[in-house]
Amino acid sequence: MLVYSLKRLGRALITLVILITIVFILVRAMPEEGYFSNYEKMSPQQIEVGLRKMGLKDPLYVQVGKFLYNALRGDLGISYRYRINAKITDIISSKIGISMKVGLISMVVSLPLGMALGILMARSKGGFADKLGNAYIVFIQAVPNAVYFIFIQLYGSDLFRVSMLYKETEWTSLILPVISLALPSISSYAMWLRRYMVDETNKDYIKLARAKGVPNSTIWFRHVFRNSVVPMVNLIPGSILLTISGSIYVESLYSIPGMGGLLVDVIKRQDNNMVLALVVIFAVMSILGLLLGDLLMAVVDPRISFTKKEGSR
Amino acid sequence: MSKYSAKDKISKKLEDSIAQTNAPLTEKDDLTPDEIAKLTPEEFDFAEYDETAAERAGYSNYSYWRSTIRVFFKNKVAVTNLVIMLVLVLFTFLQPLLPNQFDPNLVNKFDEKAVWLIVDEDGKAKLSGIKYTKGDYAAETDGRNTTLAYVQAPEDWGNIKLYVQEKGGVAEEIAATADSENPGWYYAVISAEKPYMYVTSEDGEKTTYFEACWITVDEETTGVTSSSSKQTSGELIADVPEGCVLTYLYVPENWGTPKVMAGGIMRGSETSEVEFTPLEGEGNEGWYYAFVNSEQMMLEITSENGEYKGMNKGVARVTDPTEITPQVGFISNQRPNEVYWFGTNDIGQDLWSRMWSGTRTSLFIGIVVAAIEAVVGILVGLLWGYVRKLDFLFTEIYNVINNIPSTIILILASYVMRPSVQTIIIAMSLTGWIGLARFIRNQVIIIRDRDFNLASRCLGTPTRRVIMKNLLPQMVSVVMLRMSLAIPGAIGSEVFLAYIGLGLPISIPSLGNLVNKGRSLMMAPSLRYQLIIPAVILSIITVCFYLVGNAFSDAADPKNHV
Repeated sequence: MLVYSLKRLGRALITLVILITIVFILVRAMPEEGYFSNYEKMSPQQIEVGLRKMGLKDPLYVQVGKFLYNALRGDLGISYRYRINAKITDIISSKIGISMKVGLISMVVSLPLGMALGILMARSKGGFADKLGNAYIVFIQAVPNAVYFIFIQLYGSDLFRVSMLYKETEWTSLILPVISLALPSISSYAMWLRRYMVDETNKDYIKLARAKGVPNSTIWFRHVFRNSVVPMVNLIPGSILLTISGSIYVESLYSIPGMGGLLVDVIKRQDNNMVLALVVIFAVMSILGLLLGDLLMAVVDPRISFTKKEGSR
Repeated sequence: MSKYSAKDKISKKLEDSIAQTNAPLTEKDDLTPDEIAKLTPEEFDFAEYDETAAERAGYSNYSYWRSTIRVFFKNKVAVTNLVIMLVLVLFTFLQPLLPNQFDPNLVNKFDEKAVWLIVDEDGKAKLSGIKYTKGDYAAETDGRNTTLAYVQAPEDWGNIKLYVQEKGGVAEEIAATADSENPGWYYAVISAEKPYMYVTSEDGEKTTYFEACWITVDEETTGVTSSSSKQTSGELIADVPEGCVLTYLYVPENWGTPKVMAGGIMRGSETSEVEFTPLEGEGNEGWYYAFVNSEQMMLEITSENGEYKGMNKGVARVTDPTEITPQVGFISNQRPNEVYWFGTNDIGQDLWSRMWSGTRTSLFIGIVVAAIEAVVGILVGLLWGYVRKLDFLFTEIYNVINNIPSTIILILASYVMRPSVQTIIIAMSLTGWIGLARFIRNQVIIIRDRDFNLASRCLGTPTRRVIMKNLLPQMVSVVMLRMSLAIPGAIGSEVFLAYIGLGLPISIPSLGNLVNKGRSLMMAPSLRYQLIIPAVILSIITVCFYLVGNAFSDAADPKNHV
């Protein structure tokens, strides 16, 4: 177990370093104006001095090294355009809480609903509930969420008589963002759980249990459900961590001052340092999510062998 | 039921086969000397490899693709979707070839020399600067001193008559010429000296200009609107007293009989109550009428019990006939009409042609991205699966790439490169192939050493045939599924990129551009058509591709071929 965890951790770290380097190179290839708030008014000498002062004329490996060193000490650099000369960590720390609040509420809503839908669909396989659920899943999967989010905002605010935009003081203004975030998660939880459960019911031991005369409800909840929930565990840490990065689309649609909306803002203002910092944070979250998911799987499911080279994948 | 038990049957079969095998041995042990003498050396040559002979045992007239198509066509939903999809895609690419199409980037302006007046059944005249007629103009005008006016009236009006007048002047009939190229349209040249025009039917019974006024009260806002176009049904009330204006008034049902105080234009002038009588006739529910003294034309309207009050005053005044003057500016934000089928956007571009042009762009992006994903994914996957030495390297690369959220890569790539179709295609193709490659690799590893492949190899089947007949059919299903997801996925990513400001420039219409443009206007209910139309078409396209792809992938799975 320990060896497996260490290996998995090591691989995550390597991925992270490679990723940061790539992102670094890409962002450094952007125009220099993304490092100054008043680029248009500056003379070439001033720009030269400014760039040198920020260490942007150093060789790339020095820059990457410095960035990693500072990042480990909790310093992600300074924003020059989004909020002039503000520390990026300060900007971000005020936003993480809001993103997490919205994300966690929607997860609390969508997990039980998604699982209930998945079970319902698996039990009535081929029946009406299954077909209806499938239509819902197909719609959510096929239509870009950018499109149905707009309509949720447009008609939802009339339907529930709530504000179209996020207001800190009104909890009702969270209803629509939570619905928007929950709809796709419900469909994906339901889809996976249904698939795992259907696979499980076709296995021989279930047939044996049936032949022995085990009651249907026992088969479903003692055998099928328990075994199919295990792979779902893999998804959960990732989902929790990803709430930090927020949903780029939903947050900017409802003007929620969270992390996802922030990324769109800084891209529009071409703040290179902020883009770099945010991309790194998002990537760390997702890598960490996958890592925790794998480790949790290994804890929950004793069948995953730690000696196998591929691990849980 | 047979009279033998299963066990009996098997033992009987065994006995039979043993008897058969032994039969030649007992009858004839070896060839006779005569027969040996007849043998030739050629009969002992090695037999050539014969593909058909080698495969003869296992193959019937079964064809994989025919079977796939047969299974696919059993699925009625998928076939319906396939038809919709084909029609849509075909139409998208044929649309520019249709006659009378606008350029998607053309900024349409109102015509400066002519106007179009459309008269509806109720005698309401709508003036418009949109060119409803086809062909060249019937007469030369400069738009300043003279204006060409096209008029269309309902058919039962007969040959219409046109009257022009100065402001408040005496009407004078002018000739209306029927336009031979555009049936139903009449035209006349209107001079700027007498720009006010009204239209009557051939017998003079129906007209667009009424010497009466219609005042309505809105139920929700209690706003009062005055207009001089006919809104009641039936004939107008005749014998209006001298110095009075025939005024019709509509109030919501719960207001009861309205109480109206009439006053002069000046503030604080004398007011007097006007008695309104309910109007009879079908379709006139809620309408009242009265003769209002033209000296006291400002009407203050309250409900019977005084609970509701009109927000502003109504004006009992007969307005002049329609002023014929050229419209100026862009044909912006027109609702769908017969010239601009999907309306126009805020700078007067035709949304119908932008819609299909955008669909072309988005489909092109989707198909290219899916094709790149399929080609790269299959090649890398085969290499990954077949060449055992590369397995470790590819697996590590996979782990790195798979750990990075694809949205982040997409955003970053589009951020670094200039927005264009190529950029978007490259940004989307960067990560998509890796998932397919892994699927292919797993399939190759599983199937490569299966018994039937070993058997094929033992029979001497060439690798090409093993790949085509034994491996490929197992993969078609997965490849199709990935492709069917990749096309809607690419279209969705394009919409997303457009939303966060990294999409295509506005000069290249795409579904993302259109939806995003519509989204920015969604707060104005009258402009929502700009959001709803692209959103609906986008949804139809993506759902069709998704369902057809899924159904085809199910049909292509050899497990379902029974």
